[in-house]
Amino acid sequence: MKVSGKEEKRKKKKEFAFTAKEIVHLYKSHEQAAFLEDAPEIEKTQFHQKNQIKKKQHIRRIIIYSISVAASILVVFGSYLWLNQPEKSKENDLFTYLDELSIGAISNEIQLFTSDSILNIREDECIKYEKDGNVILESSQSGKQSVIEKSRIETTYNRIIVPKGKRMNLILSDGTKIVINAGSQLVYPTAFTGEKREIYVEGEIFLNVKKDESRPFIVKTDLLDVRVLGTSFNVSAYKEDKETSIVLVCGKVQVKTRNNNIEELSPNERLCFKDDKIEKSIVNPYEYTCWTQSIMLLHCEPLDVVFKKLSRYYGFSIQYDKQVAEITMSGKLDLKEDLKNVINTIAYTAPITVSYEENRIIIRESK
Amino acid sequence: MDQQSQISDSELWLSFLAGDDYALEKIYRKYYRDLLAYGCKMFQDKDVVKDCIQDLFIKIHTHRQNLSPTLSLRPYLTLSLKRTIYNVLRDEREIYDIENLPFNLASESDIIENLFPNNDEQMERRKKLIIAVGMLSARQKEAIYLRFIQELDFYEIGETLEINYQSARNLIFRTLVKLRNFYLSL
Repeated sequence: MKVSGKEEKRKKKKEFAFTAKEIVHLYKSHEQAAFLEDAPEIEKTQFHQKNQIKKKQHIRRIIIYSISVAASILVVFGSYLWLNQPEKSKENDLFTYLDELSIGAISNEIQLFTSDSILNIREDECIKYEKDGNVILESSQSGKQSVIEKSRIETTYNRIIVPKGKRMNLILSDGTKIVINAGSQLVYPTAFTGEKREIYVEGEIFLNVKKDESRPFIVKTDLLDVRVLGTSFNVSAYKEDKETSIVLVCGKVQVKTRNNNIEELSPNERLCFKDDKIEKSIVNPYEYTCWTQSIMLLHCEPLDVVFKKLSRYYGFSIQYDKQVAEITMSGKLDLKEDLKNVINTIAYTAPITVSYEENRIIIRESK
Repeated sequence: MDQQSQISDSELWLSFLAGDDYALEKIYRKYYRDLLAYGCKMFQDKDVVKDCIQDLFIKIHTHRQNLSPTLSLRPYLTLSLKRTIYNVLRDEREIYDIENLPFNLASESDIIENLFPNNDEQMERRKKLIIAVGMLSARQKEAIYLRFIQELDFYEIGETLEINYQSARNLIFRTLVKLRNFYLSL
């Protein structure tokens, strides 16, 4: 028994060395190819300039590298999945509060629901929960801070609703930083007491969880829970999508699905939960987190997915034909631009025609 | 063959410091691609990294008088680029922790496809290794990237990571041991 154990270990060590050599070789040739077309731009004038050189603005350009018409069959969507109320479990205070907090009128503004008020928040403001219990609103433009809630004795739950077309930043009382994407809502306690830190999300968020080994951080969605100690990852759990997915940037997380499957995720892995099935794949996490920098990075993405995301991000209805859905594109879109500019750029290279109506955009395949 | 490589870095650098702008241009051409590849591991927007490299060289050109004639060129460029990118991350209200500047080896989407052609058996081994690499810290990943992909010697690695030669050797060695253990445990 011992001998074969040793033998097995030796074999695996050899396998490691062999695989490592392969990967190094492939990686090197990949790097050669990847940066081949990036010729250095020599602007002779800049090197010879004698005057003060001002700080350059980092310009992001809209670049479409390739558009291709694929024959692939596409997922039908536009069908909204109306889920039932989340299960109320007795120990779970989070869910009881979910029902108790009032929804209020549907608004185009970002709204913060506290236990006794509803506040409208501007997109360039960041909400920060300080350790002393005060809630601060910080403007990213002016850096000005204002206290919107004084500290309370008891911990309560707050809810933030970010409508389509908006996005916002939040810092929780433990220092965890969250970016909330369009069309999402987040429910969380004003302070983390007790042995775990729990929040609930519908929609999409990117988190950088402050490491605290004594208190695991749990992100709850309708279909699955993600448990972490200290890490950065993206959660996509829109009610109208048929799938919920998690992408891990660094650290380690444990995912538990609603049918009680448990999976661990390592960095660069994506877990997708759809139809009660788990699918894991290795990805470039930046593709899934670039929205936090207002960029959409696309890699052979079918146009229907692109338009759906744009529609959600900008809060404007986009309709398209089935044929349009089969066209795929790769490239980068700058979401700081007007929606019209973004769509026109796509239309420039893709075989589509666009018509702009008062409250929607219609995309057809061009003949 | 390549005339540029026959002139050493220190000669190029001294030449630039003495007033030769063309020497700086040669340095720029020589290291541009490696700097771009390295920068993209820390900040995935290629255009922003390109801008950072431009900014860096403009700064070097402007502050020529204050620069040391005895620095090691390549580590100096790499380190300076890292600092430039760090400033961009800070300006963009990037939410990564400042102590943990990420180093992402899978920074281009194609790399995943290149590493995994359609052979199933190979896929499992390679997948395990990629996952094992992902478990390393940013610093460890940077160390093995500099050693095995950019093929720097321990002296240059040390200069780039701001540690001495011996520490660089130890870091690489320990990282490989860790990597193998992660691989074996998967």
